[in-house]
Amino acid sequence: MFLVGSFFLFAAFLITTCIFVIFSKNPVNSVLFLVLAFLNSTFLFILIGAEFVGIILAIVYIGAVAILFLFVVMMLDIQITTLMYNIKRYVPLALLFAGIILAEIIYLTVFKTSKVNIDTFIRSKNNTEQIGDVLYTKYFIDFQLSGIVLLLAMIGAIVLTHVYRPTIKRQNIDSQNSTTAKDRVQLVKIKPGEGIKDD
Amino acid sequence: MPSLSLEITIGILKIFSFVVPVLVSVALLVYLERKVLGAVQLRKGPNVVGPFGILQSFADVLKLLTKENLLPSSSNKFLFIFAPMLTLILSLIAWAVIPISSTYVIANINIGILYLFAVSSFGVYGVIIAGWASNSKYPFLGALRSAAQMISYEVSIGFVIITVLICVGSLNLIDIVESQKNMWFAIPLLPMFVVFIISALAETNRLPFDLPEDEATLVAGFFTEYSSISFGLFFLAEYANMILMSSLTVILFLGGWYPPIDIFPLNAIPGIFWFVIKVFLILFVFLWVRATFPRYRYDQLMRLGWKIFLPLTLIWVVITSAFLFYFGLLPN
Amino acid sequence: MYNLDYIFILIFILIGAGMAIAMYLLSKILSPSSPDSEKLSAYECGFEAFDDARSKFDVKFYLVSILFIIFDLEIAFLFPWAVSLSNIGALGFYSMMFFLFILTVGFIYEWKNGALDWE
Repeated sequence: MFLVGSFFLFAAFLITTCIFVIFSKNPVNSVLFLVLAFLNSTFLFILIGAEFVGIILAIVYIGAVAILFLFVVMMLDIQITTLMYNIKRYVPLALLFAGIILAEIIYLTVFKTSKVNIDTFIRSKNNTEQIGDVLYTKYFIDFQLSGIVLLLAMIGAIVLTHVYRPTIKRQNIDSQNSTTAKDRVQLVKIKPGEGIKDD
Repeated sequence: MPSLSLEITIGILKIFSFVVPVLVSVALLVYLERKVLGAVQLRKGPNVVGPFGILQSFADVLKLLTKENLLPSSSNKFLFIFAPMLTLILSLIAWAVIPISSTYVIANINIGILYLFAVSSFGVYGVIIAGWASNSKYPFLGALRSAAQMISYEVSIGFVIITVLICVGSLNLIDIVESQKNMWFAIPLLPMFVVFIISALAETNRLPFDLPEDEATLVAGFFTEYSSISFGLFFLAEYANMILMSSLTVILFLGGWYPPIDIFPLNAIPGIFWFVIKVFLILFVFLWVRATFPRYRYDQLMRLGWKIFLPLTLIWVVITSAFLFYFGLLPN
Repeated sequence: MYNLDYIFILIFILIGAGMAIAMYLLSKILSPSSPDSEKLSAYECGFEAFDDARSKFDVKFYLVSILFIIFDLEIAFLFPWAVSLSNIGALGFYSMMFFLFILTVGFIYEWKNGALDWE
């Protein structure tokens, strides 16, 4: 009873925040509502006992991805914008994606659900360990592929955004540390009345 | 089996048994900081309010409470008020999983360390929201710097936590402390211990990494526009975070509630005493560092995080795991 | 029966929020309020603000946060590995070493490209 009640509570919050993500006028508010939506999905995961997945969702999506979104949105240099004016243009695309995801969910829940009792399965053992036991061995290929995806993301981000600017002064600690007094200062004996010859 | 309502009442009492001491310690920590800085600089520090000036922080709180709270006209009002509250909430709720003895903890969850990692990574939001909602130049720049700094050092904190976890084999904080009964991890993992303390300084925006609130270039960083209790909440949260980070250091590296050596007069003293003493020592190191080191420049800060700590911690993850793996010393 | 620990965390969040709001309201009651337009304008060393504060900033911050996401994911993969390293044997160990090797290649690329230098 309690479980069902909290499920509907969090699910309702989740849907509400998602609606706000779409309809907020200010993109920064949208991102903040997105954070709330992620948080609610974390709660939902924890509610079914998948604590590891839930907390990783929080760490990765709230702690990293949404921060990137915030940076991007702040970088766009938009005041309170009029982004909303051509929202209708995107409706068909949005419906297409929503349809695909809905079809996937139906396919997974109706046709692919294994008849394991999830309750006993999840609570039988610490579920971080359960994931760890299979992820690196049974799903070896998938795991390595995700590593390659991360590598591509890393290289892609650098290629797209990084411009090497040779004119900027950089600190070179090695050369600073290896300088001696001789490189910087020259001691000259000056005889009275002669001054320094300027070669 | 006690009834549900009884258990929840006990839980709420437990929560207050953490929150109240933390808030009082914040006041004492501020006092201690001013005294230590005073002593380092051959001054007296606060000595007027109460005996030895010990009530100074409480007087400061009262002052902040009665000051006028300004809402800049160009700011985003709701987020401007919300940001300091969020920061304070985050610095408090992290205490939910901190064990101060082998039985006394509010929520003994399996993934305690992940919870702490998550909550500390949310800390960036308070800063970014404050900087953005102020709609003023210095707070905005301060927030950007601060956010980039915090996320950079979170990477090395993450790797340091992984090295400890490899030695423990559990994400539960009580398990982490109990596996240090015979040897504190600060000894075999000494480099990680040092990296963790330095990253903790950067994560809590303390000197020598307090660039977000660098007076000389950014006035007061992300809380330039804040006054009265909104400023007070940020202040409270910063010091509560310091205490939290030192508790985390104690749990990960200094054997939590265990005495240094397990012999008679030392192990008769209750664990909570050892815990508090160790937290206090780490806090003293924080203050000592503040009094000693000059501030880093931003490019130096980023280099330290990405080019020194990140490779170092990554290599240590590999070394530790390989060592334990080849010698069959992995924990079960 | 549901795990009580998470309920305590939820209660803790509510108590924390309650305290923050209470402090704010207390100060609202105790403090004077006499705003004027000068007091409420954004701080800029005594000048009138030149232009809006929400200006463009260096793309560098974007790069840092995307690199952070990648390393954060790497850490997320390491957590379950660290926990069950003793159960998964040599294959599990070398599988992670290979994963780390791939990402180290990326890291070296970043380094050589100067993407880690702050300018």
